[in-house]
Amino acid sequence: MSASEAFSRLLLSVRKPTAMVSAYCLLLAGIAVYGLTHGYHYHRKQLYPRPAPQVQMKERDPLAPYDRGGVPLKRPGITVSQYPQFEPKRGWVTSYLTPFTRWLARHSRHCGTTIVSHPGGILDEILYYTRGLDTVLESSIMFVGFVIFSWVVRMKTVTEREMGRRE
Amino acid sequence: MYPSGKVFAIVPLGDIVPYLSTVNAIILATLVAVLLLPILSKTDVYVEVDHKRPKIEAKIVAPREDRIKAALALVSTLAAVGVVTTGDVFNFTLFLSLLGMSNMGLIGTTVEDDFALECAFNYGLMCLIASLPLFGGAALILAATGTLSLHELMKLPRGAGGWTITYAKILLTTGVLGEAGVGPFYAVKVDSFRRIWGRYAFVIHLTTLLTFSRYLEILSALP
Repeated sequence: MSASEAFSRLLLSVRKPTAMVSAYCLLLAGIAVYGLTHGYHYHRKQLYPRPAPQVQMKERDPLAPYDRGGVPLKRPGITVSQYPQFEPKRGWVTSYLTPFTRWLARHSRHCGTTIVSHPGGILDEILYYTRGLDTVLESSIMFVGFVIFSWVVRMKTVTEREMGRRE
Repeated sequence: MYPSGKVFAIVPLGDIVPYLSTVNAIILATLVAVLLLPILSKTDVYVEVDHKRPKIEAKIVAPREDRIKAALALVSTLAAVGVVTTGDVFNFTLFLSLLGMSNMGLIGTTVEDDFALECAFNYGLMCLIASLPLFGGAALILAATGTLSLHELMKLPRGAGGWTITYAKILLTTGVLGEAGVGPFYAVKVDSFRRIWGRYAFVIHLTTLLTFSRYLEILSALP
């Protein structure tokens, strides 16, 4: 078998749509296993700081990982931004909670930060006021996903109904 | 300092500072020029022929997927504009996810075609899996250098971050490959150029290509 024939057989082996996913998963698994064999050094002085979770657990704070301090629109919370000159009012809305979330955090010790109750919970922890564009983007990704899904489902049902009416 | 030439303009949006440099401007101009082609071109006329009746009766129909294809092509192009102009690694990965999702929708929203749906399902699976190395790479860059802004990452000396940033680059490349790189593969699988939505299949190929050229610039900006 010549080299070009072997190459064309290799190309032919990914002709099914599912084969590409399997090949990609194999590649990813190889990279992950290779990454485990090395040590990692982290930068100690991070942007976007927050208190250690153990410190807050001792204080029995129901909002432990998400609590950024401050009072909305009165006192700014803990926020360090990369470019302070672009964000004169940073940290003013980071501690905003919906009334339901506030009620849940006050009455239960463990449910204050669940995804359903916290509008920021479903987004990311670092996405506060200074990174507002990311928040908009994550919501729009979900929006596009819902649009595609609902279109496919609607077309499936509508065509079936139309076919039934014609006969 | 900037690998892409002189910077013309920046958009101060908090921590995310998109910028327009020489290379970015060329890519963006290509993108906008090609987006204008399907907008300015006249829509084709599609004819449906009924063979069951004694005489052949043809009627002009608009394809049912035309509107959603146009909307998704617009979303895909806007995401590509974001990819090209963004100045933040995490924002880049988010725009790339949006691009992959809308390209998947372009393939999947085809009426009465199960194979296109299967291809779109597999592409969506690929997008889902690829978001792990994509966001993992961005998180490792933040962990290794303490910042996500490309303007700050360019100022760092070569070799800062060591193996962590090298592994972050490997992960990011794998993520870009899975998220956008396989789009043309599935678009060709469903034979999209010969379909009635062929002019929107063009968008898939173009946005993928421009994403890669932009990714090369980001790769050269990382320490």
